[in-house]
Amino acid sequence: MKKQLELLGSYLMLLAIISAALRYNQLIVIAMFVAGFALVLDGNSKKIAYLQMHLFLVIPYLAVLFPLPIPREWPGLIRLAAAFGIWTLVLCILFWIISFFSNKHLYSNRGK
Amino acid sequence: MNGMIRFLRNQRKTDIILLAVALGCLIATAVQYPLSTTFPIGGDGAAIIQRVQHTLTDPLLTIRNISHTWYPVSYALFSSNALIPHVYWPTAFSSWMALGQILTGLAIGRLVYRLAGIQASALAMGLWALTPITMTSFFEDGTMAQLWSLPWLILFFERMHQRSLKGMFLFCLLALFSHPITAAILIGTLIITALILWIHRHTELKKQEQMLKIVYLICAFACVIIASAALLFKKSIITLQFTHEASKYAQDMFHGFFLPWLLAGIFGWATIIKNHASRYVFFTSMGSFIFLSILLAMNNSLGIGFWTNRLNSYLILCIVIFAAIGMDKILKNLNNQFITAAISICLIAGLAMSTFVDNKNIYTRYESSSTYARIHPDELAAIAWMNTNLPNYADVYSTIKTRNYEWIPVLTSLRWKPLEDWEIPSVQNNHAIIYPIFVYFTRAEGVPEDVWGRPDIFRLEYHNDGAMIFHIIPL
Repeated sequence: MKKQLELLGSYLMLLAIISAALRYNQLIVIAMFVAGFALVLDGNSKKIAYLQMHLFLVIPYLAVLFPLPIPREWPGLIRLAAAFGIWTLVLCILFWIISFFSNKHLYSNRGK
Repeated sequence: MNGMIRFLRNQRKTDIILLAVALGCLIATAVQYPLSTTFPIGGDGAAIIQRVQHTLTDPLLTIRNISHTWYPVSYALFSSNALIPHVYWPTAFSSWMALGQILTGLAIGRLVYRLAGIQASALAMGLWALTPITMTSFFEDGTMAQLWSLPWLILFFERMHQRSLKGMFLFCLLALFSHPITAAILIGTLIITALILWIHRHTELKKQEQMLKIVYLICAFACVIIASAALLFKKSIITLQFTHEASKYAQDMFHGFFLPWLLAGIFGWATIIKNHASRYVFFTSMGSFIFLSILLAMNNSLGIGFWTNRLNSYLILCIVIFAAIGMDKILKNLNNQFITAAISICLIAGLAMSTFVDNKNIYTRYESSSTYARIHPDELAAIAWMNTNLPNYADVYSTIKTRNYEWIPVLTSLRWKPLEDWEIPSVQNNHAIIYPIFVYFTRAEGVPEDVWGRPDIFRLEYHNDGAMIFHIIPL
């Protein structure tokens, strides 16, 4: 069953890629890809440490969605450095929180 | 060579065909640039050539020129063109750009081969073949140094994956001294990774990974000190002026022809990090690089707009690497070798052909004398006239209304100095200047009335439809 779902998911994603290359409706393409992606996911994806690695993609997405109110009168590179510094800090804090839970989980498993 | 043959013998035929197609596409879209244009596009070519063109005749001057730039490694490598007999530098520049594009593709292929095997490697090279002009601006801007910094950056990650400290150190140095933007991204990656490794200290890393972690922390600390010192001595960097720039590639990346590869890239990352525990340092570094690349490419969305188009190329690198891995995983799940190869070849070849045709139109537009998208043949004719008819002690002056004037010292042996119109009297009054010449490229600017109407002071020496050359008679 798992193999069949993986195959179906792969076909869906391939179809989405080919549809996008042929400039089909973007929403349908994304929907197909997400559905295919979900079908291909396996048990490993639920691990906390695995989720941690997705922060590298999620945080920049959040940064684009919620631009920081950095004063416009500051020099451009200082604004760039400030934005990067703050979002890096957010990334590190979230990493630390997840790492704390994953370690706790790891050591709790060891005790059993 | 024998190793390469042995390697190819061990591969499946379908993989070798796919690899050949991908290499063909990579070379075709790169070589198309020097073959379709008669002169470099972009404004930086002249400044780059000027620094290295006297490598054989005056090596000390070249060393001095190279050591005073931000791109010593890129310039030093480019100066090797001086060894070609009777080199024509503008043509050599275009070919060197194409070579940089191919080398970057090969470096991507090598990294992806380490991560996911030969099929993914071929896909990655094929995807990189789709990027010239359409997704990166190297050819159009003439940013040779930045393009030539990419292979070292990628090979740094490849060596890290192989846990080769010597290789990492070598490619780190090459990347740091090839281009400041690449250096800044590499330093940023090192610092973010070092922070995350420090946070993640409870996890039991393998012995080799532990060593990498220590090296990382030391390197990041050294980089912070070096970068701080550089900023301290070059305070002008902090106040660097720039105009807000929106990303011209965002439309294609999020809604256009690169969208499928963006999606495949996300899937590729999700796939590859399943095994991240065994190579935690490498994947954390790649993650940090992706994090920085996205922020830099989208910095206009953060309300900054700093060189958005030039910074886009690092995100394209990430997308190409992980899209190839994602696509490879999708195709492998189909469990049919023939279908997999057929789909890969059709996709890569079809899209590369489409890119080739699109780029052909763009190069034709640049070559057209009516569009004035690069230096005009009339301007080249004027420069050639100066080279053959003016004495070598002549001083050539022009405004800076167009960067085409920068080709004067490259294509002639004359001294060239940019001036504003109001500075002309200072030239006229300076008796140390024996033979002052003022050039106007008339497609970029009109000749001022003060110059045109004073034949007693500004004697017209040469003119054609695109240029006027005046000899300034000293007072």
